[in-house]
Amino acid sequence: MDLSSRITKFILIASTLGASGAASAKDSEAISFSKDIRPILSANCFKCHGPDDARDDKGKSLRKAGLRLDIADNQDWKEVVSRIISKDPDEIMPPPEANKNLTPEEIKILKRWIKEGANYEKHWAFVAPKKSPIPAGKHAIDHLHRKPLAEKADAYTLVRRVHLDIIGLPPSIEVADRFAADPSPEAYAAIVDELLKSPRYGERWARRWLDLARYADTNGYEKDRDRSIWPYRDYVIRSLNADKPFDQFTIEQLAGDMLPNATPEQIIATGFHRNTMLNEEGGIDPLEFRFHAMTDRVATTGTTWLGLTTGCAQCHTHKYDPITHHDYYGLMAYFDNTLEPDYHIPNPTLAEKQKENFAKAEKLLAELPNRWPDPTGKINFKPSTVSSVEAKNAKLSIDQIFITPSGEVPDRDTYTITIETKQPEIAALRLKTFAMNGSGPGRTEHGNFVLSEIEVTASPLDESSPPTKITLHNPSASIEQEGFPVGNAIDGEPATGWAIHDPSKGIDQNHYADFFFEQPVSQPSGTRFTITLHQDHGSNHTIGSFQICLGQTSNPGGNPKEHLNKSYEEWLAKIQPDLTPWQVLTPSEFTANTPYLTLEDDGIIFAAGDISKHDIFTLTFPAAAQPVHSIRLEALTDERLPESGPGMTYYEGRKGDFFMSEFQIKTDKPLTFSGASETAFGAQYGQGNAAASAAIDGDIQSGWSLKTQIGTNQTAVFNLAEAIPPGTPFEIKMHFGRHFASTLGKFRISGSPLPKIKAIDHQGTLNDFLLQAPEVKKHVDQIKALRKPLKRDQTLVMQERPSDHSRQTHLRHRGEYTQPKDVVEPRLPNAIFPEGKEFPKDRLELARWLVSPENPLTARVVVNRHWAAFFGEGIVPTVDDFGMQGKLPTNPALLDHLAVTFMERDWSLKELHRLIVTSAAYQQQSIIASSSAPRFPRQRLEAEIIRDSALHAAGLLGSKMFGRPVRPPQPAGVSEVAYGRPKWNPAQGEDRFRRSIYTYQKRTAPFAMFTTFDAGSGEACLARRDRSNTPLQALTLMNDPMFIEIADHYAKLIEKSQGDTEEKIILAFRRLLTRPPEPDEVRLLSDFHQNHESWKALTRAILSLDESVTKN
Amino acid sequence: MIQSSLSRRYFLGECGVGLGKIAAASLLTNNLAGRSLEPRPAHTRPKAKAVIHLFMAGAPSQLELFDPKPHLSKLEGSPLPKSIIGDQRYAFIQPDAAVLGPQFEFKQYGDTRATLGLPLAPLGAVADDLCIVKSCTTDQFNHAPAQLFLNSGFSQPGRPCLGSWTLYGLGSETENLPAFVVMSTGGGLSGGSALWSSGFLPTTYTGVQFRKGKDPILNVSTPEGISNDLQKDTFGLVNQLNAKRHAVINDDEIATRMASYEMAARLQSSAPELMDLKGESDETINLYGCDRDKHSFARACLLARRMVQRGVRFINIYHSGWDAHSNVKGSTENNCKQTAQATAALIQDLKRHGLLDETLVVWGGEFGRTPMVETNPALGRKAGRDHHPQAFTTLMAGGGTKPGTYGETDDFGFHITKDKVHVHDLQATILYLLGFDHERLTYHHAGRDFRLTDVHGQIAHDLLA
Repeated sequence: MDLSSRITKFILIASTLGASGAASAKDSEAISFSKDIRPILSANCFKCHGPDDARDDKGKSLRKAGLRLDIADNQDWKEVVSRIISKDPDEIMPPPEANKNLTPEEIKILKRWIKEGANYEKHWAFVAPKKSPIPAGKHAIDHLHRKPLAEKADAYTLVRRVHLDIIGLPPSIEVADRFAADPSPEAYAAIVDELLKSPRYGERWARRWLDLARYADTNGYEKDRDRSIWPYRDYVIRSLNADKPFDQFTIEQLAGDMLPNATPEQIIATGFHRNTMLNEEGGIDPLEFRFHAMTDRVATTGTTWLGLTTGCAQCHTHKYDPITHHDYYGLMAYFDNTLEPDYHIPNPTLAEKQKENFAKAEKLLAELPNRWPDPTGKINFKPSTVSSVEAKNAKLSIDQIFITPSGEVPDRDTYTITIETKQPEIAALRLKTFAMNGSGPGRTEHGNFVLSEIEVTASPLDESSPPTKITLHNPSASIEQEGFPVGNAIDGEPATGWAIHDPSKGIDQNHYADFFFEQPVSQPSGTRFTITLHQDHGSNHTIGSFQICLGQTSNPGGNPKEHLNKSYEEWLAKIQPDLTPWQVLTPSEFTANTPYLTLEDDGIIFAAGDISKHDIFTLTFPAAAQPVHSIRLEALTDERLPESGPGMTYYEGRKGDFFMSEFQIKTDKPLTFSGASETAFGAQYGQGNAAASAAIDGDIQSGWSLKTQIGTNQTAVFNLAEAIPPGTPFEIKMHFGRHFASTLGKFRISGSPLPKIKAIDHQGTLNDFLLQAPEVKKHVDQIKALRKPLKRDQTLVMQERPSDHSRQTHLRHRGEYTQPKDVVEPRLPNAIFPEGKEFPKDRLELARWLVSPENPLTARVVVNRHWAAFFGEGIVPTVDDFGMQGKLPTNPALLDHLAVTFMERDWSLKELHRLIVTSAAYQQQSIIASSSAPRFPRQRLEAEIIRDSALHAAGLLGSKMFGRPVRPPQPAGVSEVAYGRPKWNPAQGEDRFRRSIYTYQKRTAPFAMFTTFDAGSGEACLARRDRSNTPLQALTLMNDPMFIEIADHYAKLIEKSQGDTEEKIILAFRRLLTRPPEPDEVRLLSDFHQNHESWKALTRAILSLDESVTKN
Repeated sequence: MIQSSLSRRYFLGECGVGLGKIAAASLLTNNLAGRSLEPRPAHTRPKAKAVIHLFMAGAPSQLELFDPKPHLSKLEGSPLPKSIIGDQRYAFIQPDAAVLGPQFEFKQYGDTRATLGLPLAPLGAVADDLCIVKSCTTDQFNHAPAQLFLNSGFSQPGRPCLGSWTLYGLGSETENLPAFVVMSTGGGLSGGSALWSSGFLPTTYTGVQFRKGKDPILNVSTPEGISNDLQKDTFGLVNQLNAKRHAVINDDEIATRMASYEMAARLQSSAPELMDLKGESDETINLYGCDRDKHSFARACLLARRMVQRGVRFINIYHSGWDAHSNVKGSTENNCKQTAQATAALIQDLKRHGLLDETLVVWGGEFGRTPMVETNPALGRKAGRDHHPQAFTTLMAGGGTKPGTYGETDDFGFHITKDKVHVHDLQATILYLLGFDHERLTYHHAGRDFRLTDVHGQIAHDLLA
């Protein structure tokens, strides 16, 4: 649209809604400061004569002018006016370099105002809204509208409009036809009722709220890794569907964690301000980016609830609005005193299951001693010397151990292997197979084989008796392909067999099968075993590389119980030195540079708060009664830590890990270590292990960390070269961090008088023994699996810091993180908060004040934003700015009435929506009769509604709600530009075409179709979206593979429908556009269909129409 | 392919609503912003009509390529004086890390005695066109914030980038191609799509990505299985139905959408035509050192020249991979191998087409690299350099810049000692070359007038021709 038509449009809207623009005072009316004067002063003078009174380091005012024009002061108005009308470039105000020229009309109004007494008024938005009287039976909106209305829209237009507005989807043809047959107000009201009850309602309106909340499923900035905060998104949908009063909705999101007995829902709600971005770039200063998140929280709160732009005041006092530099940090102080944990959402079902699992594990553990194997059954497999191998088709190469076939691959084969041995007590054999050249042990192209049958005979070497067949039983295998268990190889059935392909594992692995003899074989002269491997599956499923091991029984005739006891004692003797009784050492003083430390029970220390790239814990220990020769550091898990810890790493590295670069100890002199050990360690990126010994090597770049053992308790033991004598106090210093912050979150220190103890993670009990014994590994694995914590869904939340560790907020000179100045207490700008009253003192009180009747802004800002959602333009056109620079409300009485009504009706958004859509103003038709005629403003639909409507029309949109974000199809390469070139694997099945609100949102590479249609990236609070109209949108609708796929489904649905071609065309048209097509439209579509004979071509064209992406 | 004349004729004649002119003129207009992509005059007479910004993402080492510091070789192994480092924070190294001397020899080229490190020798051929600014400095020392800062004057996402400001100020001179194009070679980018975002400006001013592969612009190709006839007829049907709707509703927004379909149809043929290098001579292909079809930095440079010829206003080519935390020598060699010849070729090629005078070529990264070495066995790093915000080098050529070397740093290459050019100054200067007063190119948003240079920025007059 060119400028002139846009201006026309603006006037149209303005006149429709009852505008009174600035600088348009009628001669007959008294001049109003708010309406007529402040806009002139604000636009031209406040930059220098406004609230900003910033001072430089020496206290000198930086404001260019001393005189203030934004407040009633003792101005010499004659002088002011004479300066404004002056022609002298040294005199004239504003000065020429300001590029501001007052119009003669503006000067005239200023003069009149001064003549009328130069009365000041408080800025309109800072005065509490008032309700207007509405005559009985009148619709409030229409009564206050006070302008002529256009005709009512036709039934089809209206029913489509109200559906798109309330649930974000077009109506069904049935609903539309029913309404067309009876377009009565009652029928309309019934439709509105239904729509407000629909679960789709929350999905539609959540999108607008999530724009403000700057919601996304990734962290933003360079790495932009995934985060789990979708439970917050679901909270928003649920709350909107339940019509949760907006005041409660506000309090829960800003301070739900501080409500008494906060419910999980209220805690999840605090995700609102956790939607800030997280920079995970290696090497950043995490606290600097925390500060950036804080400024985002202030700005977002300002926009969302107050409709004020606070950003300017980050660096200096606002030049236009009465928000001082100090106020800004006062507002920040409300949000600053928080911790930012991950919240594991309680899940009763999961908790029950976990309890069951633990109970099962306990039971299995108690039974473990009974599982100790019969020592006679213990088999030692040893490779055997092969004396001959025969095979039907393969040419076999033989060495002592391996048999490697080469040459042509036969379809089937039988190998006969002869082994001669003098060993007694042969009781089993193991068939080992070996992966070959990156493929499997089998000779098929994919590396698999099938062993149909295995047969074994034995005969004495001296030929004293004929060969006898050995009966095999109890087979077991390292892997069994589904449908091909190892038992098949001894079932006497050549059609079945043992195979090794498991899709979850690669084929390129070694595998084996064990077969036990019913009776051990012992021949005094030695035994000749003949083993026959039948491979009759066909298609080359033969074995390529294998080995036969014979198994001998050992320790024949033992008793399992005795054997267990003996094994346990042997083990215990071996580890005895490390089972020293540790003495927990409790520090008398403990400090850290960045986090704060708390002493909990049993000498446990918990770290919380911020962490930095180099954190140092300093622990002072009083003199011990015993010598201390070894120090044990237990790194302990806790649900308060990321991924349960034990570390506090939350960006760049593995969540929940730590990196202890140095562990130092001193008395009155530094002490040296003789060694260190640990129960687990990670690998360093470059070289060497991240073991405990790396924490005592004096190199700050190396250290101890975990990596794969996150979420488990681990221990390191440091042995001192010389013991600390009894009665000597000592100090431990622990250094943490690398190029990212990686501090330990929970730990305990113990001491022992013994030297050279190794770190172990048990107490040497029988259970401890059993849990590591290979003999019962199969059962232990089961126990370990049952003991594994079941993962609950996580989401990001806020948590208030305890009062004894509260954070102080500093004013930042020029808004820079690196320039902290005075401490600032929580406070609100006096322009909106009555002077002399006590400020809300914390986040919860702030949230409550924001939705109290004393706050003149929130209700207005909210109803205005919702008005704009329906009408395309707010009553205050600057939906994000109710300050001096914002536009005036075009209909202040209407705005105020809606705001007060909203509060009175329990802050119900559904009631507000009902009020709006039942007004005649909303139901006007949108046809432009003439440039000045009133009408409902048509608007292009939001990106998500365009996609959802298309899916709906094509019959693809499922009704599945909530849960993890999903990836619909989009062109390959959209995500390629983002860091690490992440792949976009489109979902299959029902997740492929879910409602757009559930689409995975990646900040640095947003879903392309949404971006093309002006959706945000979640990088900043977005109060209004553009509605651009570009060729890229045309290309998307015409060519995007997703739309092609939608068109295809759409076409199939139409093709299957009843009726002749014309009826089908009408159906296709109406599924998306609701109204019946005009005859000439049908004709155009029919001609097209006749020419191309493709329903897909037709549905694709319909999806591309202007009307399809427009709310009429 | 669609003949645009067909749809144009339809607009002007057959559809009978007489909106062709209005719609074409207001194509891509944003209905909220009050400005469109129509060409419009700048504040002053522009020197440059187009900008090609070769963004060396990851930050090349100025100490290896532009700013020889033999003194560092002498100091190698010992730390810098504390007084030099001050309270600078580093991404990876400790401030007391030892110094690393220059890894390459330097030579002087041309009449301007342009000093270049060995890996950049190919640029010697255009030495007398180069305006080498050795005294650039930034506020940011991490990639994503610094890349955003250089593009948008702000370290967080959300503000318009230079290309968007340019479009906002000047509009577009091409009807067949986007006016602001982004190409990328090398790895993924730290700053992501925020680097070419229009921020709070209307989304119309966002850079359009040209991707590798057959679909340079997302969805610009007719999908498989759809014939040219069908595509043409579909455009025709959609426009006919839209025109009918326009006749009823009378909303110019529909006319604008019809025009946007017309331009989409034109893009479908102009984009492949642009990407098709068959018409370029072997000599040209060899000059750039590219393959006609294979995606590379060199090919992107040649495409940029073709875009400038077709009226594209602003082109970003990102080449990432310069982040030499380890082996700064090998990394620099490798990246220069991919970029130096093509950069020289681009300048030569623009010149011989008579385009260099009005095309500003900018080459540089988001910050510099430390004189100190980065060595960290735990991270597997040695002989690298960390991020250095205080001093780095940016090259410019053409578009009204004055060839020569500008600015100086101290003996350590740490601080700037003469003619400091802050990122905001660089932005002010580029805007000046495009014909803008950077203090007057403003946009009212969130209660105040925003500009690219915030409240800073001085034009570096000495580097203007």
